[in-house]
Amino acid sequence: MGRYLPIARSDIFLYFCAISSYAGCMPRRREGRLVGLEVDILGAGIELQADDGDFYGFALAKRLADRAGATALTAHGTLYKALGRLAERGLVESEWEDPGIAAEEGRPRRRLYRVTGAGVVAYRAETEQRTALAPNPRTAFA
Amino acid sequence: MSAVTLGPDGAAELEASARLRHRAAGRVDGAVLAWCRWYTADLPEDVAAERRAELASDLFEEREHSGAGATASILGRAIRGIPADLAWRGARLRRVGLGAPRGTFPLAMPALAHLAALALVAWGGFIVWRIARSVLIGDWHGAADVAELSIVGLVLALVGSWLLVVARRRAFAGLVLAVAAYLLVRFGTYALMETSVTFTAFFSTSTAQMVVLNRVATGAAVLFFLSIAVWWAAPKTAAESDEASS
Repeated sequence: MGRYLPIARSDIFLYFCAISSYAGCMPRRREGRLVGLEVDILGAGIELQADDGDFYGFALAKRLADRAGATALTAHGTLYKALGRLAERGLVESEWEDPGIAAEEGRPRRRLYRVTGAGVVAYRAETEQRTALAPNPRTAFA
Repeated sequence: MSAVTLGPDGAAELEASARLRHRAAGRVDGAVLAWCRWYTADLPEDVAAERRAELASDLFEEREHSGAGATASILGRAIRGIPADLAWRGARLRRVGLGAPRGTFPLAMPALAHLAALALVAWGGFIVWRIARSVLIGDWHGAADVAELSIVGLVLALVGSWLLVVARRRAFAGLVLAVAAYLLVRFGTYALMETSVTFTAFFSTSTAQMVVLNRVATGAAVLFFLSIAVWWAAPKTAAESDEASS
């Protein structure tokens, strides 16, 4: 029966989400794809490391909020869990800051992240796919 | 670089670094870090140390950026992140559980221990309330030592529950709770008999069964809390256990 479906089975959920009025519809991760927050983290991370060479948690949360025009920063748990997922997939890498630098500045050590080459590739691929899949507003009136 | 490798003293160094507080830090910062200490308490030392250090750094940087005005933001971020914190903790515990030696049960242990301790405190509170009520209305005819031991049991249960929250004292908490369980289940049942006509009637109609039930329940409760004490007295990672068995 599946061959009569006009869309892929995996896309049915997304179509359902689009027409549903239920805000609780959770985005489901598809194999090899990135969820929205992960794309945003990679995008913000690439920007930050272009300026400073690397980035740390709070700077990333601040940049994410600035990019989204939001006042609230991403929750601690959500941010570091997403960074952990990206690290496990090899899309970001991290190392702890030299303790001497942190001690000199009188603050806790930062965990410094960098988006890897694989992370840059994944970010570009994901944004391109999203751009291609995004409906053109004009087609609605065609 | 993606797998952060810490040296032998790496976790301790991170813990020391995480103890630095911003001059504008307040109770909210302390509460957020205490929450982090709680949900990382049973995780491998290096994983826990990294999470605590990363959060401590985040709080410090936010204070540095916004000063005293960051309190609401820090609290909001912590509360909104609780589901993710717990999911992350669960995933980490599952990894530990998958590598644990057979016959051990580290996965549900903390939650189960807290639940059992709470149940013990609730049971003790109920018994002491019944005793107090009975004494106040002049209805108490039981032995004084039964009432006293029940009160001591409740106090020990409260102390044990508090100790259970502190990761390093969990083994001792298990011992305290085992004593509390003995007092509250063994003597609490007798105290309840003196304060409840229904319970007395039920006990007198099936005395032998109730005595057996009392002994079994006491033994099970004491054994449970003693096993917690033993488990946390000598925590071993799966790798250490494998090395020991090979």
